[in-house]
Amino acid sequence: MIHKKMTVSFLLILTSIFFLTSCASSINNSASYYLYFSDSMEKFKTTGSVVSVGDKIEVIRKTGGLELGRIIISNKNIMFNDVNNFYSFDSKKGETVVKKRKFNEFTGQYFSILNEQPIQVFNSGYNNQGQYVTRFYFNNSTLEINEFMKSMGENADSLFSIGEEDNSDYYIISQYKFLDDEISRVKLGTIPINEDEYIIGDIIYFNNLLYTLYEKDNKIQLLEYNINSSKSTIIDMDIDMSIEDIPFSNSNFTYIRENIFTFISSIGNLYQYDLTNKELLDIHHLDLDFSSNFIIDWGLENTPIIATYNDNQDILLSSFDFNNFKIKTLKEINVHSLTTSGHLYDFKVAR
Amino acid sequence: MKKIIFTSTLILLALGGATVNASEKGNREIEKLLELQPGVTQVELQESITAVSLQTGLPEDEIIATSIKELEEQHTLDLKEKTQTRGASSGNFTLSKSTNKGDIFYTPSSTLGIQHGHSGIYFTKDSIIESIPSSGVRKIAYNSRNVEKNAVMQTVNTTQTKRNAAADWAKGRVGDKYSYNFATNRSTSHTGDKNCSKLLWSAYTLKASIDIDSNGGLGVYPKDIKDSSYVKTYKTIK
Repeated sequence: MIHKKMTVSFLLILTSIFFLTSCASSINNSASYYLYFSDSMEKFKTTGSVVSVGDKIEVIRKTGGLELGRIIISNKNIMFNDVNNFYSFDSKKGETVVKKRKFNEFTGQYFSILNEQPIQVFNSGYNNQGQYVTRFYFNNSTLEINEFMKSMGENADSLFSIGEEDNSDYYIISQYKFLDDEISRVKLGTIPINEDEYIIGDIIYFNNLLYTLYEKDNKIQLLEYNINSSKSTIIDMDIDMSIEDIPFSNSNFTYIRENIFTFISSIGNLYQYDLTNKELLDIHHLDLDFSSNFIIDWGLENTPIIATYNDNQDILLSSFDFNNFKIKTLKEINVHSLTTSGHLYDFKVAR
Repeated sequence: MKKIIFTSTLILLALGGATVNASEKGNREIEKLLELQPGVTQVELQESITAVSLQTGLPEDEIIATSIKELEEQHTLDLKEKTQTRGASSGNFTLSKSTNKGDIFYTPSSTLGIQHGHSGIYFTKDSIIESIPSSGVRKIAYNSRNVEKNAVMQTVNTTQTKRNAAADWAKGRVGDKYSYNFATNRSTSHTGDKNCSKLLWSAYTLKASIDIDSNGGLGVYPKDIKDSSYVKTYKTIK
């Protein structure tokens, strides 16, 4: 009897906690791009889907959706989340491993891999004690940080965050590492929260410095945080850009290449600030329709790829070349022909 | 004598039939109201109707009829809005930072029939508080919010002190569950389960003593707030 009970319990644990392998999808070995679609969470019933784009365009997985969901690609595995589960799609085998999370989550925050371990971060909302919660998931564990994350970023072995506690007058800068199956957090320091000053966009790591765009005096400036000295500096880049032109938060609109902090505004202007010589370089306008949200994959350094919407609200994938700033159309994806709906929340080039 | 008994039986039968018919009609109307509001349970709906009846003194069948009428009006407005945005979802736009704390936004709904649009309030100039079905009241950065074409950002015509108080009150509701009941949400508790428009309406009713529902009635819908004479649009997302 006890044996039977244990077997049943074991099976239950297997189905509820451990990995479940779903039916195999068709294998799209030629897939060059992956797109993450989801409804926003004000809908009564939400859905989402991940689409592979190659010789053919197909939905590789229907999901329950996740607002601000993201994709990461590692060793031919395409990983993503929805409100209930973590998914890892093996593009060689066409199989998806599904892992149910401990809690339902409705708003994505960040998604990365540290030491080959996927780290999922969600904007989880307030707990029963009235504290704000950002939840990290890794292995079968969770870590709760009582901060509303204003910005996150990473380097090769760490995540970084700028978080805000309720009613606090400073932001907390933190570093997270994944070691011995655990996430360790180190508070690096703080920066003051000043009225009418705002953190904008992701954290970009470069040579032990953290960078993020910053609004001060109604101007777009650059916040530099030195990890070694815990000192923060606001750099006036002398940019004449409207505050209205800040893009959608999941756009990946900031990047550092060759000592140059680079970002794209919501009207398609490409700004480059030379961090070594502290000077603004020429501004280039990218000849694409930026009237809707867009998402950039900077992976191919000299020819980043941008996903934009066209007039029919289909997706247009284009590359631009840093040598001449010319746009090259790569693919047009008729979203309406796919049985998918919702907004584009992430896009990645297959590697 | 026989004639009297026969006539009395006929009258009783007729009255009984009328009662059954009235009850059947009532059930049909309740079912219709439930169909118009998926996600609301029959118990929740019946309790809210009884509560409104006690508060207002109106008979329950009148409350049900008014609620159906208001929901059907919203559906007509949803259809009109959808036609203006050319049918398909066009919701790939982002909000801007607000002019004031306590400003509000409205976005048309990407689908027909249930949400009737969506609204939220700026807790700070760069963060939003909103009530959503999945997690109740949540906080999110302004440029993390996908909105539909023709979404609007608006300011409420009151003092900044009252706008601040309304935003702080809304943020204090984080943790409240979502309610699918729009039909009678003007009469439900300010501190209980609520939907997006009820959150904004309660915040300004309690903290600024103004009614930002443009047409009164039993339910306050997102479009009712968008069209209120107390609010002024300062940005349309296109």
